[in-house]
Amino acid sequence: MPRRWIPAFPLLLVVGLCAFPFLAGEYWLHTGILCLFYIMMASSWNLLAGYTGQVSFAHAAFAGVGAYVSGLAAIHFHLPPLLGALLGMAVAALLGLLLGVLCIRMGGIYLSLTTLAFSEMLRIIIDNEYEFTRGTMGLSVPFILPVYSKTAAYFLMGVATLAVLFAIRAIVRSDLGTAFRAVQNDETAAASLGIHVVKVRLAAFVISGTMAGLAGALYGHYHQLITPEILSLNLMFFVLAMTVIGGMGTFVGPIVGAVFLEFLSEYIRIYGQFHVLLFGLIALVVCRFAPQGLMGLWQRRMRAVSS
Amino acid sequence: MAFLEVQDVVKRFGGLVAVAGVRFEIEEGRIVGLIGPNGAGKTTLFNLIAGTFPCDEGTIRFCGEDITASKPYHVCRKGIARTFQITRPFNDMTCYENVVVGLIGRDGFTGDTAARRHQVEELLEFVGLKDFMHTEARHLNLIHKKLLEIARALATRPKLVLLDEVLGGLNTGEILRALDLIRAIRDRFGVTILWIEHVMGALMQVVEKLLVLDRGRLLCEGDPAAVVNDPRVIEAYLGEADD
Repeated sequence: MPRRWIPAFPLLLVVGLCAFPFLAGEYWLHTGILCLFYIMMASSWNLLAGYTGQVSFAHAAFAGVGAYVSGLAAIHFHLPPLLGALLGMAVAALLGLLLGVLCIRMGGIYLSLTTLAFSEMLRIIIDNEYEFTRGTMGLSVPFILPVYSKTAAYFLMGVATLAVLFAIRAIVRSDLGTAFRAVQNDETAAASLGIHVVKVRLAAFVISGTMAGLAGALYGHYHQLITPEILSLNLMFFVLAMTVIGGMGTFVGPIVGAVFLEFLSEYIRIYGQFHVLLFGLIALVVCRFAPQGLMGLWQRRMRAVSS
Repeated sequence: MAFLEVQDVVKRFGGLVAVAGVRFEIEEGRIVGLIGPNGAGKTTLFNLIAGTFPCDEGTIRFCGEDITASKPYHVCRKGIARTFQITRPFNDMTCYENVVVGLIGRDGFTGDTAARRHQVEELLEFVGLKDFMHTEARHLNLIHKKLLEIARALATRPKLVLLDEVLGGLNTGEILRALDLIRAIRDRFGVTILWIEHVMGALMQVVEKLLVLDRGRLLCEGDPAAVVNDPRVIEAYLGEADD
């Protein structure tokens, strides 16, 4: 493939993405919207786990908080969903700060376990609480826009996804991003060079939590039903698998992984219970033959072609 | 007011007393060697000064300020930078980015300005890594990793640099170049140097004062030539004279 074609890619991509809702049927449009949600989730989790090395299991919980806060604000205070999403983001950010402060000085597996426990506690509370969040019944909330339209929702989610991706790109390329990677590579060395490691790690927690809050709020209002399923570990591990299979610590990896796994899970849904099995097999094969994820595979291939 | 003042510092690891009440002072602008047998507590002492480990007892003052309980990033911002015995470059990052981390630590988030690019290039050129500017640190060999750590430490614009065995594993030619570099750190940047080294012959060519640690205690200090001929030092290294 000649290299001069590469600049044409983004243009084709934009045209393709804009045309998608008009070409795809209702069902695939829905899948496309879910893809956008997962891109936001996987990319923002990657900012935390892939760039600062903090493998948090509370990311789905932040999305859940964003969704429930926004949903409850819409029901009780008639806040428009888009404003509610902002409120959801703010609360998710605050929670990110609190959880971050709680477990920021723990490293590795301890941080993972603490965030896992936090996430499960939140889910169990919402599961069993009926008066306020309506437990497993779920919360009926207004649609994301004043008028119901899947196409419009697709574009709205698209704009939000782009905003999140641009923000992540800007952060990764900024000094903060350099500090993130320094902390991930070697905390001791980073601290010896004057980097305030705790602050840097906390910043990653808050930023990625905020983004998950936004994704969750939009997702909830799109579905018009918010259930504890959104902060389940199922969703968390799905996001984790997307990031790892796509390529952790790369910008494009989580995007590729999210699209790949979401479409894949739609295709293998017909196998019923076996679809989980298939899923596991695919994850296994990717881990064995492409430990750096699909992006790693691609980069290796590009290097082989160019040399 | 002494430049660096270490007063009766103690560090215990469980039952092991790694540093058992060390006291010394360093004047500004000197190149001071820190020697001693393996396990004498040299690197532990560096970790105490740099704030990596907290002291159990004693105080450390730098330019008149008590830094005993300071965190590593704080100690660095006060003007003490260090290199590591086992090199710790940011492996996934280029040499350029490695040095940038030091600049961020000192100046905060300023963005990638022309002034910064100039400083990074200057530092990498100073240590002789300009050709490797955009190479990931993982691909560097040992001496280049050590040089990168020096460039990174200098980026924090320190007043004092703690060098931990920069010559280990280098061949003769590399050692000679490293010695020139260490002199240049002091002469060009006006940085005081406290330097742990096992390669005695090389160390003796550069240092102006020598500290000897043994089993967590300061055995003696002073003029390098006098110190290495001190019977106590010879005994510490070779065992008791048998006559």
